[in-house]
Amino acid sequence: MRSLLRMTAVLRILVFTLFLAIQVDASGPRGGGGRGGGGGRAGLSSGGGGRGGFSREGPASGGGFSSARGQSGAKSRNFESQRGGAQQNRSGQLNRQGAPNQQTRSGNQQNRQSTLSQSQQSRSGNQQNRQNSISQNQQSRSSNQQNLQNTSGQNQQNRQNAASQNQQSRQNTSSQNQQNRQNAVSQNQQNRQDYANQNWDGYRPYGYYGPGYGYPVAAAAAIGVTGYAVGAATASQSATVVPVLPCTPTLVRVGDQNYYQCDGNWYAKVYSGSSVSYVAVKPP
Amino acid sequence: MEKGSGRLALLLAILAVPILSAQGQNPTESPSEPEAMPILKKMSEYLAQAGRFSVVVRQGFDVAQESGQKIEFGEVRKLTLSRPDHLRIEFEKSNGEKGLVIFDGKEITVYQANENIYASTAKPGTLDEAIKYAVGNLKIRFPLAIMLLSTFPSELESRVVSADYVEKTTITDVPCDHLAGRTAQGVDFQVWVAQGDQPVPRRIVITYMGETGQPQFWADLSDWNFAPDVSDALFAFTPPNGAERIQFLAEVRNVATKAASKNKKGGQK
Repeated sequence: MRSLLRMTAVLRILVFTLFLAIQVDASGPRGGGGRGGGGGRAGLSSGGGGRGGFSREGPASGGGFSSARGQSGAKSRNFESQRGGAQQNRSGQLNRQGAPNQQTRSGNQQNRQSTLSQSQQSRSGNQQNRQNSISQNQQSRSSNQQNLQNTSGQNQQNRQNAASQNQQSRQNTSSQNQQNRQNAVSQNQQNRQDYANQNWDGYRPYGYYGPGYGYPVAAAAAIGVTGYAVGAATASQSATVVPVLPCTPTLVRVGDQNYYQCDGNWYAKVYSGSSVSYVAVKPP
Repeated sequence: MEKGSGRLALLLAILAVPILSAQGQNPTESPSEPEAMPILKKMSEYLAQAGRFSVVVRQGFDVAQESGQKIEFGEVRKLTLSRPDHLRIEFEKSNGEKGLVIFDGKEITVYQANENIYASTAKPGTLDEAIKYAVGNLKIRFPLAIMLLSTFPSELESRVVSADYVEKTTITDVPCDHLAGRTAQGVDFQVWVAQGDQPVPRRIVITYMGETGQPQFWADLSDWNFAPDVSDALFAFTPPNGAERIQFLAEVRNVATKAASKNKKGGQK
């Protein structure tokens, strides 16, 4: 029995470690993406003021209540948000473990009171209750040594409470889980619809992950009503946007439009994010 | 019996580890949520129902650099809002850049003083529509945009998946309720709401949990005035001498994209 328990423990730890490893792994490419785009970001978003070469803009500069990460096709974010919703449903009846545990640590007399109040609270709980009951029992056992008379009865009561709570919790959890799964499915569908709407203020400076990110990829050689012919020579290239021109430009005025000529390339000034950038255009 | 229950306890504790760990990463309802939610609601409704107000927002944000180092930049913005369709934002960035954002019910205009440039686009309609268009379509950086919407309460409600009452604090300039919330969009936020009959946010901290380096945005909001001067002149923009009119990048790109897709349909290159 003991060796079986040990094996189970080892297995659990392995599974848990693997779970952590997968999580780290999953976040890796995303973080890498951020850094990978950093080159573009630092170059593109200095906003004319980055004297030390510092990037001046990032996701937090937008001050939105959304993250543009979701808009960028990170579907896992969406899924997590659904899990968040389902989790909330399930946890509606959960007890919070933190505060009661701290209480039980501090003093025998308080233990008895908090144990009682925990018992009341934990009737409505599920898995977390089991953990609470265990810690209550442990605490109560330690109380025995100092408060034999009181705690003896208390322990018995606790064990009974714990047993009945556990049974109740298991039943609750089972039906709750079933409900959650159903909720989660319908919530998933709803979430996918809502997500785009809710995420409208997620900010991503232009070029954060390289040109074109966060914007429709603009094919070049398109002459707009704006008067600018955006982009380079071939249709496969996306428009180039830079925060600072690579040279001191020659200003050329054509009609009511200003063009900036730099090393044989032509640019137009545009407003992006909260500063001025230059977009490559065809020669006027 | 004692030994058996000990083993059972050990087994349950082991089983509980991944469950509790997983719970730590997802928002859960807290006992203080019933206390926190009404304050969020009251705060958002108070702002949404105001006909006009002005406020000074001193804000900062982390920008994670390529090296991983986080650098904070900031700015001060003075917002004057008059519903249903007027808004003026004066800003000064930490690098000294100054500018304006103005909506007069017909056009959205941004002006950058140091470069003496402005960009303007027609957007007749309400302030709500203009703000969403400016942020979503023009991609203008517009911190705390949802706070200015008349739909602020529903915007907030649809995002928040959990909320906590942290504490009552008195070290702010007015006593505040400190709340913490999590959204389904991977954004955590904290807000300090003034106690009393003017439940306005005095401080906001937003953490972008899913972004590299988990950068934060913070804002201190002061000088709330719910009876500011909102004469038409405040929302009129006259380009200064020599100011160059430029376009919003998003508009240039949209035109380019549309033209490109048109070309594609026509079989041209």
